Amino acid sequence: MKLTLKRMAAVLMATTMVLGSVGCASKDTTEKAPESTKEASAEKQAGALAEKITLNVWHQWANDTNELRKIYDAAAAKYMEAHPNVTLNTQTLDSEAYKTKIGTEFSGKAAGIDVFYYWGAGKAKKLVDADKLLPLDEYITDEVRAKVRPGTTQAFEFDGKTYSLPMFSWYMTLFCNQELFDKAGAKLPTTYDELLQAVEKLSKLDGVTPLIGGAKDGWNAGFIYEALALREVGAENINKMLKGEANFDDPGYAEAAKKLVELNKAGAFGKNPLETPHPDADAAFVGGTAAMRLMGSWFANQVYADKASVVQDKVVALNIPMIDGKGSATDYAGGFIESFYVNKNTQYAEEAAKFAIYINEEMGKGAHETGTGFTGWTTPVDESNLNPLFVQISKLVNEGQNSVLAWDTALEPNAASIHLEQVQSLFTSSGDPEKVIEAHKEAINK
Amino acid sequence: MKAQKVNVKKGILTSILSLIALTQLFPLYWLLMFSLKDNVEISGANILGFPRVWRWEHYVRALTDSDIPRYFINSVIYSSVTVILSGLLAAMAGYGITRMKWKLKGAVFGIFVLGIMVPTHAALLPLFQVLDFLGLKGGYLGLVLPYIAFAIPMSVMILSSFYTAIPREIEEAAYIDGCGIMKTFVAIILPIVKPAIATSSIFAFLGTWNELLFANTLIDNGLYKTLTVGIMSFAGQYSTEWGLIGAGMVIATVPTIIIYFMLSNQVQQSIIAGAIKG
Amino acid sequence: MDKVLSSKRYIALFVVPAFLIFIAFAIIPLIVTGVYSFFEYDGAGEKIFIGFQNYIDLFVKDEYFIKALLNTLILAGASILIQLPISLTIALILAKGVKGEKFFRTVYFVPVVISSMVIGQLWLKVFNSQYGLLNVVIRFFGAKDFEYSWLSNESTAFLTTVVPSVWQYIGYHMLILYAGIKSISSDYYEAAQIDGANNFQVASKITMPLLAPVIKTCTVFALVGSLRAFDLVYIMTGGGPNRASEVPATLMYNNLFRRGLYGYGSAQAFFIVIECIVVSIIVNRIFKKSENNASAI
Repeated sequence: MKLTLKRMAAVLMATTMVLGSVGCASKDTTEKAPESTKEASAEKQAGALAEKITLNVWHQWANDTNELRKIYDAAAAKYMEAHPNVTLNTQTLDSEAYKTKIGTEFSGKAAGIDVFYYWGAGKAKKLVDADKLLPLDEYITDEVRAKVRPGTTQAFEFDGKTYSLPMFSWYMTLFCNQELFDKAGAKLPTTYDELLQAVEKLSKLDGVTPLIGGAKDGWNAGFIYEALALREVGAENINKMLKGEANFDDPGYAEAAKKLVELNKAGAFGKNPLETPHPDADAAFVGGTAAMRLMGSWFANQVYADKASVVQDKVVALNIPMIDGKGSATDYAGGFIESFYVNKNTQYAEEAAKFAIYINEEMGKGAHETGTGFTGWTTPVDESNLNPLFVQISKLVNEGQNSVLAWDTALEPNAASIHLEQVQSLFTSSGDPEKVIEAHKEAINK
Repeated sequence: MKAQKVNVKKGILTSILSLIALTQLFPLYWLLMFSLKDNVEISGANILGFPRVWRWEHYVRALTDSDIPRYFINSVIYSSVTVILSGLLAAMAGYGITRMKWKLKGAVFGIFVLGIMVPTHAALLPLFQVLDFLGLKGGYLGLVLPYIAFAIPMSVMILSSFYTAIPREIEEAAYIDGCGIMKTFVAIILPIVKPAIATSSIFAFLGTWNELLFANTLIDNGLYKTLTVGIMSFAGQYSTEWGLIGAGMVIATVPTIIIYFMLSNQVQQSIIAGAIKG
Repeated sequence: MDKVLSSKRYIALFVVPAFLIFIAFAIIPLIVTGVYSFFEYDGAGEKIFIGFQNYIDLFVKDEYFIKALLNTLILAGASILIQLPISLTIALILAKGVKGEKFFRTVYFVPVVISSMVIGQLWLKVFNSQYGLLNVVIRFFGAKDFEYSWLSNESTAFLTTVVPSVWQYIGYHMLILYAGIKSISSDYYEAAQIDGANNFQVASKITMPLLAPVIKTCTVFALVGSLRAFDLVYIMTGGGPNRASEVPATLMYNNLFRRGLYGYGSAQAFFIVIECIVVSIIVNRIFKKSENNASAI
């Protein structure tokens, strides 16, 4: 019974694929029309004649007050106006719930999902391997290609196919509270040694955590190790390791683990680093009780907009401190990872793909204009409303060349979990770098 | 002399009991105070006392800056439908199992009891696939049916222990008077087991009202979200404003407390009656 | 009447609706979980049949599962040895009749109705190293710089989560036991009084044996609740630090929803179910034996 069902599904799939490819062959010819305006009007006409369809779109900006949610809503409304035959039915859930939801949906055909927000690299790979995502190559016109910034699509490409286009990037930044540094007589750190010295001075201040980690949440702990490893090993090697092209055996990985333990022993993360989860760490920094926080560029917004913030104009954004004689200053942690994808089982592949491309571009632009991220598109953006901290970071971004994604998004889920929990163990007093490195090797090396 | 000794003993006993009562009530007090303070007070400046400034604005913001009122109504709908339907179905099933005569009733009862053992998250992915298969996923029904299914076992257990205690004569008298089985059940039996229904209702209510995992995964549409899901995303959004999150938690907790106090007499009576049979 | 009560039509009418819903939305998913447990399955791709390998891995390969099982045993032990005795003592006191009996009965049950989300948040704050109630009290009694973090140290993390788990359900068991005591006929006590028995003798010779079935119910609930514990541990420690406070249900949840190890997680889920069934059967046997012994005397 099950077999016959499977067979039927395969036949159906093959049929739709054949039909689909026929459909795009004819589309290719229309797209070769020289003037884009002509194409647009033709499309609109076609749109008016075309059957009315509904696209189910899913994303994780669940709250009405969320900036990205507002950008999305405006862009979606605009899209429906331009494409009267398309109705967008958008659904949202909050982050953790969203991950569970999408994971569960794609255990089946995810029939209620046409276009959806997801993470590239390791997370998307699982869906690609299970043949759940639609490659967008045939829908990405030369005109679209030309608008995408070079070097922004690695996380969305698998086996030579492009499954999505970028939205916006993030940039790992060391946020420093200048006031606390002055009080402690410490110098803003540009190297690891300076960081260690600053930690020693800052830890003497009463009630201040030098570098609040948020390490109770694995990905926060991961950030700190990944930053040190970036400087020890360099972006190129790490990327090879994350993609499975190189083993996890560079001695720099162990060095990074040792440095983390050294920082911890110096009191950098406070007395009980594993007690503080991510939101509490954010609150400590914006509340002025932590001198540094290593976070994504999105945190700049919170420093300014959070009602509880007392540090608005006291914060300086720095790059991850360098380690003497190692790495390149143009390496950075961050990049493009979030994007909208198309479910392979969608009934409306072409319409869904067009919308996914459109919404990625619009979200990139909108996120940039509100200081949430850096767009992956060359579309002009209005930078007049950005807060000064974000402007500082965008200067750093412009110097960046090679990026490494957060490891837990780049690795496959199981290896990612092992990575995070092993790094967390370094924050305990019994943290053992050698054991941590061994566990990484076992999980990552094949 | 002896009376005095007894009095002292009683006094000590009462103060111990009161002390325990304080620890049990402390969460309510703490939550209420928490929701009215700012971060500085919560994180050290004033942990136990009354707020220095009573920040009622947290409640105003929780109720106006978010969809919490709508989620509240949704939760009321889910909970009441679950309570009513699971109560009715379990009352009927329990009656069928304990009072009617058929071979497999022991086995069927055993399967219901098995339901109490199931860790609900173990069933999530298959449950999702079942709902998908039946085309029920995404709407109100897709959440209410699993809630009812997981509320039934406990209710069947509670009600069954009550039914077995009802003397045969009561039913016989009803039949002799010419009542049919339906009328006997509705007019005679159900009123007798009222306290048990109250108890199973409160368990069904708590299970539904506080449930998070199913509500997260089985709902497709923001319109149908429950309060706990809403509070979670609210907490995610205002993660650094603890007082505000506290206000959200109070809004989610108050109905359970009110309903418990309303039904507490019945609940206690029925647990008391239920325990006789062990 | 017997004819009506054995009519197939009415039996179906009364039992089938509840049974169908229950089978469709609880038992079938459970069986499917059992089926998945024999596969290597990531929740999205191909399922590969691997027989009992997942179950073997639980005990041979997984260094955390046995530790997690031990943790639930500690919790079960605490429930039986700490929670139930406290509940029983309070129940005995209340049942003897004190002022405000009803008030106490009602109040002790309050933590049961509050959601685990709120309870977890509360105890997180109580155990916080800097501003937590516990450490504030310890500092008040002299240990000035005491900043021990109960939940982020491997040696204390799990034991710390045991405290609220035990605390939350004291009132629940108290109420069931109280009810049991109240239901014991007063004739027994009058007879004992005539024989000149003291309080302790009454409790040990009359109350306890007659209370055995109720204690059995409480024991089963406490054990099963411990074996499938999830909420409070997940909220308070997430299984950390360094996975020291994992219980089988948190491992299962992580495998199912974070790591994409669906087959393996299903094996853990199914193991928990089997474990709970076996334990409740054993408890029933033990009590039956002691009941038989008691009646033999």
